[in-house]
Amino acid sequence: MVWVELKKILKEGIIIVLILTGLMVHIVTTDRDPYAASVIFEIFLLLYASFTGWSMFDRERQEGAVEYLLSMPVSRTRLFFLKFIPRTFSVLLLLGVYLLLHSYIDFPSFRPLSEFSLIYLAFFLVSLSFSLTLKNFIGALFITSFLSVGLTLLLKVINPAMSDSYAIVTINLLILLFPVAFFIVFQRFDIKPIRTFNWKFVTPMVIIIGMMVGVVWLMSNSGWHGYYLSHDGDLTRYSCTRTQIIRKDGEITNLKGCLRPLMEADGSIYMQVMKMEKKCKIKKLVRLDLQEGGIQHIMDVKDGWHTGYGYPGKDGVLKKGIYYNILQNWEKKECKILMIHGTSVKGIPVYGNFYDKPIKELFHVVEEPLQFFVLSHERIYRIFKSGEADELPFCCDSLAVWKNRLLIFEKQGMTLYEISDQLKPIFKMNGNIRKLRRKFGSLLSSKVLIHAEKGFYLFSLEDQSLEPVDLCSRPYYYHVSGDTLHLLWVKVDEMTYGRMVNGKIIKQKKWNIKIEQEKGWRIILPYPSGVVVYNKKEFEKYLFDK
Amino acid sequence: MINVSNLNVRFGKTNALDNASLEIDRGECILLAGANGSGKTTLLRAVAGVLFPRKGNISIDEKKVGPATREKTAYIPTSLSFYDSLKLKEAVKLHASFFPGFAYQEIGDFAFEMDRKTGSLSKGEKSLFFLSLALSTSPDYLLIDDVIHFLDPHLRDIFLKSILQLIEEEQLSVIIAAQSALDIEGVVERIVVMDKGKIVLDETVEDLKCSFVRFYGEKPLENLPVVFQKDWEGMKEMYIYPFESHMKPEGRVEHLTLAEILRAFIGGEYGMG
Repeated sequence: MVWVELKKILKEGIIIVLILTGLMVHIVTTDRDPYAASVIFEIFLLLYASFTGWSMFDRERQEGAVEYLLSMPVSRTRLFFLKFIPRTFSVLLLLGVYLLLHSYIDFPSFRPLSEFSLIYLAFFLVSLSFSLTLKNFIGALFITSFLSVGLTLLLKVINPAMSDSYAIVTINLLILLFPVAFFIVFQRFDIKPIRTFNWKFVTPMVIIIGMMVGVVWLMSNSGWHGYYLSHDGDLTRYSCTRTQIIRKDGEITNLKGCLRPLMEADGSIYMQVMKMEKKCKIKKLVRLDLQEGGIQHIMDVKDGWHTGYGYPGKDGVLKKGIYYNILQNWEKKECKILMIHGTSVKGIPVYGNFYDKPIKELFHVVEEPLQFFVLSHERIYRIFKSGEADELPFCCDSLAVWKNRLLIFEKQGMTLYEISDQLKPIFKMNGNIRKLRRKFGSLLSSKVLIHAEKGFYLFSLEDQSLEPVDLCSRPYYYHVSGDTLHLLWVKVDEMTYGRMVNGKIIKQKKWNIKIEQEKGWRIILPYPSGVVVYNKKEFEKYLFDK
Repeated sequence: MINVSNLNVRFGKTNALDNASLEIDRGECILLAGANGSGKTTLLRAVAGVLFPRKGNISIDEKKVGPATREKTAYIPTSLSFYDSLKLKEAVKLHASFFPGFAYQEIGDFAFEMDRKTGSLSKGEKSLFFLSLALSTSPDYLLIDDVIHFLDPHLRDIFLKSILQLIEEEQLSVIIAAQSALDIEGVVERIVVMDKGKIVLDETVEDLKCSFVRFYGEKPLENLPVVFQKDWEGMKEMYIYPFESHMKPEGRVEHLTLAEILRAFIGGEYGMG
């Protein structure tokens, strides 16, 4: 039986192999666009996989041999595999040939080969599930294409942030439930009219589709991409198409468009209006009145321009009511320093020895004399008021700025510079010193918490004092405000907030984190008023006592 | 032994089998008769394991119908379902691949040209080829669904002789589904008549012939089990079943052939009583 099947399938397969080889030879020997050929080529393979699956019982149907086959002394399981194994062999053989050709010839594929292989096998197995139910191949191909490709596109529509690969893998693995259901229902396949079988198959199909919808629904993200907790404890969140302000009392203000918080200032937030296409694009900068929800336009942003990098509400620097940020065009290698006050904006074009690749910067402003420090990929750039930029001749892991002081953490030690026209080193400490990088919000402070050798210290940028701090473990976040050190420790399911004055904990609060890590993904963002914890589906806010 | 108990099969709202029960011993040859749509094919299909009943049980030699029972049961469907594109020699090979002890044997002296395709065989030839395939598996039970009438008298003779021989020599049990008992009266020993999915008659041929009579008389009969009656030029023509010897109707009493009895039972001119 297996041999009879195999002979028939291989005959059909040889035609495809010949077409495949012909196309390959054509691509290799001519200058035609190989991409177009590869698409035709892969569509051929998908058609073959689908046809091979669907035609599992076509011969019996055409020659009226179903009753004969069912009367043979084999179980339905064995019967299934007698038909399935030769087809699987043939389909895998062709896929193997294709992958082999790929390894020898540099040849484009419309998706990565692993994904294409998955789609190819899904086409085979899903079409196979309709081998009894559907009498014509076009119907089977249409349904299979819908399930494999259509549902992937649908998932992308539901969840645009999901990567193409993830959507393809998810859907094409999910639809493999169809052949499983077919195999189960096939155990009760008999000579009754096919509608009887179809009715049996409908139930698991409905269950599977229900499960798929459920899984897609569960997998789909909430759609909220980011959260920001304001100084008053109001939560702002944004998705591709809308923004919400959730007040402390639960009242919700809905706003149109994707408004990503940049920096909070005096009861309003500077925000960028985003447009979700293949990549996020910034369309304009606005100022949102947190109380009224009113939006004031600041400036339009042309395609290709981006603001700096940072978590929501921690992007750029606010000093004396002026909001500073960087606007960059990675492709054109152009950059501007933005100085925004209210709704008026001033841009300083940057020129000189600046970056040569997209930078992920930490941005610092020194007011007297006005200049900017940018840390990106271990390089430090100093940008003057005129816009002239220069790369400093040393690398660093991180830095801190306070008034006219610049503290640089190097591989071994740290150096404090006084900033004037020149950078003048005024303090140096060697050893294995690490600054604790994460801070609450984007608040600036005169002191930084460092980890040196085995202890923790508060280092003052003003008087260079080094004050030991008795901490049993490294905090997740910290912030120095006057004499108070705010600390946050995070464990998997627990979070502890503490305030320390003169080396003593004066306030401590513990929370159990309810938001679970989803595929290792959970963001914990402390702001001056509290902490927001979120994953792709839900969020929780934990407010500090005032 | 084949044991069918309370078998129910439904096609949509139609009861194809309605609590059908039947027992067939080794070496028995049964004629399964009934009008079109009476459930003969459905019953055979259920016994052959190509159709799952909704309710009820079928066991063959105390085993539930499945691959093991199908190994002992040869089934010749009325559709003569087979791969028409295969040559006869390929068909033999394919059939052999399902039965470990398969040894191809021709029926009588009838030899097939093995390079012919099965699709090119006439229905009669195909029936005979099917029988040869079936008997090559040395079955204990043979289910033949309404194919006898495909055969010409010569082939029918070959067909029936082969079956008779196996019944005698190998204790083969045979169920032949047919609408007529013509030519097979000498082969079958028990009659099962079906109507609308129910078994309405199950008798040995001998008993049936004794207890089924036709009566001609002037007066209608009282207190006798008349299956069917009609007027015939002032005379009453009545079919009585079961007729017992102590019944003494006034008139002419005739015993019938099996074919006539079946015609009386299977609707048509006579209709069911």
